[in-house]
Amino acid sequence: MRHAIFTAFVMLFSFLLTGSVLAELGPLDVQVSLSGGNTGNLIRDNTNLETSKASTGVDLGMNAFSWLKLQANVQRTLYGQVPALDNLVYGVGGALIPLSEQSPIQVYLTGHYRDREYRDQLSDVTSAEFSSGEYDATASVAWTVSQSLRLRSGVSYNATSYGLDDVRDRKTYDLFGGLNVSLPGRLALDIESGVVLGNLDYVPQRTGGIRPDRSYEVLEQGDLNLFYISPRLSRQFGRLFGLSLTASHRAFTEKPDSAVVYGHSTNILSPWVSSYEGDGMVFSAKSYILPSFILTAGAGYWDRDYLTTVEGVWRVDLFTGDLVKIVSTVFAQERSDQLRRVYFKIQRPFTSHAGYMIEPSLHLAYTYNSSTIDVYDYHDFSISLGLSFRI
Amino acid sequence: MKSLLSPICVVICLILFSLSPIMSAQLHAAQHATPAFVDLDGDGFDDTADDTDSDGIPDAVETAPRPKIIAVAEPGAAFFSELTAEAAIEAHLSVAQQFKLRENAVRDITSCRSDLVRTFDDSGEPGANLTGGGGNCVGGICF
Repeated sequence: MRHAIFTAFVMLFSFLLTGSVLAELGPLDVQVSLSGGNTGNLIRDNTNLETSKASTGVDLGMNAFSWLKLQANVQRTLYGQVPALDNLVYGVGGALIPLSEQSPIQVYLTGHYRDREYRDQLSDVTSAEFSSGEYDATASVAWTVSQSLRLRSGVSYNATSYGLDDVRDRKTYDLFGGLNVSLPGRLALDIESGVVLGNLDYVPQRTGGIRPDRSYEVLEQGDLNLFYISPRLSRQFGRLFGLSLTASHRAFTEKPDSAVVYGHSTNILSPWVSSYEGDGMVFSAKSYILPSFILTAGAGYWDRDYLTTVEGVWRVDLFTGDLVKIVSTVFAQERSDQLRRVYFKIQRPFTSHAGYMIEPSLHLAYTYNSSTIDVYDYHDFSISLGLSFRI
Repeated sequence: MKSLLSPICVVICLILFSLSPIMSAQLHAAQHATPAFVDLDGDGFDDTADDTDSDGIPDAVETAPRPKIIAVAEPGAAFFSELTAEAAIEAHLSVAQQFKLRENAVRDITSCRSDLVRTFDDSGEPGANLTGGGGNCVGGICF
């Protein structure tokens, strides 16, 4: 199915790119990106897996019409110390904006497909186990009620399917609405709220010990729904400074009472291990104070409660004397994290004599997470240099 | 008491109805007196500011802004209606530039904030628009 969609899209793209149609189309927008750097904690857990990282990607965009844009993308990422996680991502997508920009009502339709393939550590071929395909589609409407008031609403569908057949696809539907109000004093207030409806595969609390060969068979199916609201206040100071403050609140509205998910240390894939509810606050600043540079910085704090998690516990086998990893819901724990993150980014866009837009950038980020489960106590400092060309 | 409420409601409705054009006119005047500050993408800057070369730096900030991409009006264009003039300008823009204008108009609906963590500094990685953000993704789970 995934390959059929991809092939169909490539054929459509090729058709639009070639032949007499080409003369009627806008220019092809090509963006080549290179980045390299180091991350102090790749998997963001207490293994503190430090590795260098290099990434290169090409984004193609083509405006078939003034209301339609087709996109294709490929990105290769290599990890110096963890070659098993080297991966290739390729995707296709499109965006449709059928109404004129002068219209007070705007409709925005978009869809993407991404495929992420990992390399097998031993055979050096594509590994199906962790590979995944991601689909998303969004239909949304915005209404400019007046110069200072805009309303919006939409629905978004996201799905991830896994190469491992035992793991069921994760699917979510986001229904959202929001308003954006311009206030006196170069101030803007934006409030968004919505619900996310999704599925959940979980281990029932009563399961007890789990045999490695039955880790996916014991899963039961349920629903995981949540509500969120996020107000944002932003303000511009003079010509050179802009600030914004965003808050968010997420709360599960429906989940099975005794749901347990597999944690990182079990080495069993659970797409729901990162599902959470809680509150967050983000402060962002942007400045053009250095001529021709774009400076952005931000700090965020999140207080998050995850689904009850079971981790692997090492015990000595009484018969063999070896250390063995036990996975049992007896050891399931409530997981509550506090995440702090700061980042800084500097970009220097310029146009070459040939008319290409070139943008070098430097990105620094520091993350510190404390958790009620030791595995998720970590900190991470990452630095990356990027260079992008837009032709 | 109930019989009193209905006439009072009617009177209030009539007053509001009669005042609405006046309030509307005042609102219109106020809106034109000071341009509204619109920030749909949350970067703290006014989205309506011109950025002719699409480098992310508004023209008003750049030391040497490029000339605006607006077509030179044909002789007699001043006699055209506003709509015709807009159509003429659109006709001189490339298809990509026309799409860019439409994209600017919908930037508040291009993403939703259901997960603030993932949208926090996604722009830090190249190709973030299609590859699902800047976080590390292992086994289909992005951190």
